[in-house]
Amino acid sequence: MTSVELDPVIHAQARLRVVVALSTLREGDRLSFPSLKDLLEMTAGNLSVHLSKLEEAGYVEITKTHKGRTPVTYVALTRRGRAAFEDYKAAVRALLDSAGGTA
Amino acid sequence: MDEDQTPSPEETLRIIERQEAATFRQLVPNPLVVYTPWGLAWIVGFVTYFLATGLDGTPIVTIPWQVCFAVLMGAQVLAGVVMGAGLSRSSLQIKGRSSQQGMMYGFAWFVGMVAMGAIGSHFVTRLPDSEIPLLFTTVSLLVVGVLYMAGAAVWTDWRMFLLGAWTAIVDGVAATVGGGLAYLMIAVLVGGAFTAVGIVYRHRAA
Repeated sequence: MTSVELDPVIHAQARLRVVVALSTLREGDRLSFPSLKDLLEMTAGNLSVHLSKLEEAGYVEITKTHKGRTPVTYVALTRRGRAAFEDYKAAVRALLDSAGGTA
Repeated sequence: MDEDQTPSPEETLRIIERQEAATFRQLVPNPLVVYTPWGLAWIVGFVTYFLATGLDGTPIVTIPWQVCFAVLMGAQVLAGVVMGAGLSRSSLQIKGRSSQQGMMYGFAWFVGMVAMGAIGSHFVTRLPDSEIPLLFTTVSLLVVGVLYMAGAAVWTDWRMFLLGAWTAIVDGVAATVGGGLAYLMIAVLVGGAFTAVGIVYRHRAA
């Protein structure tokens, strides 16, 4: 039995990697969608789906701008997303500690 | 592994660590590309000046100053190209505070070097021919050292700070010593330091 709940929005391999990558950025920075896609080696469609889920939860902020005539999408973790990731990491550590204690 | 699968806590930690390392490698420029090309360029360029000047004022090898200048400049242009190519290959498209910092830092180099050129060009007319390259060398290396320290303050990078401080200190001593020894000091101590730091701290493949 686990008493610690892991945030289901983050706790899926693909979304976890998205959140980790974005958390590595400095606050106030945004990463372009194509860069994120290349970094995570995901397809654009797949990444979009996961980003929408994270956006619905208020964890990421997606902004669309233009570079010349080409639209560019930038993604950043929100303050709430950053806090959720910190909580998530703490919960994972707590799970590991309790597993180590009872195993 | 299925992308939507929920990993175990152990797996989760591994995913976090791996993704953090992979992102970090992309965010932080590879020292091998940023430092080593410049170190090698300065070793080649300033050893050439050293050979042409000699320790006691007698040239070790007779090399016209135009050749010395061309070797140093050519090596530096090559270093810039290698660095630029390496940086553009790995750089992520980031917007926000970091991109502004990067832009200002880039302009600082440009403005600093142009101003250095203007100041140097003004004073060289009053110098004996043998001192002219030393003036340009030491003043431009001062700009390099100071900008490295400033960049280190922007990105909180102690390695970069120490490299900048070392450059400025060696530069100051070299200017005081003068002559061929100054070029030899810069080649070995500054060029050597940049080369070594880049190699020691290079990004290793995942």
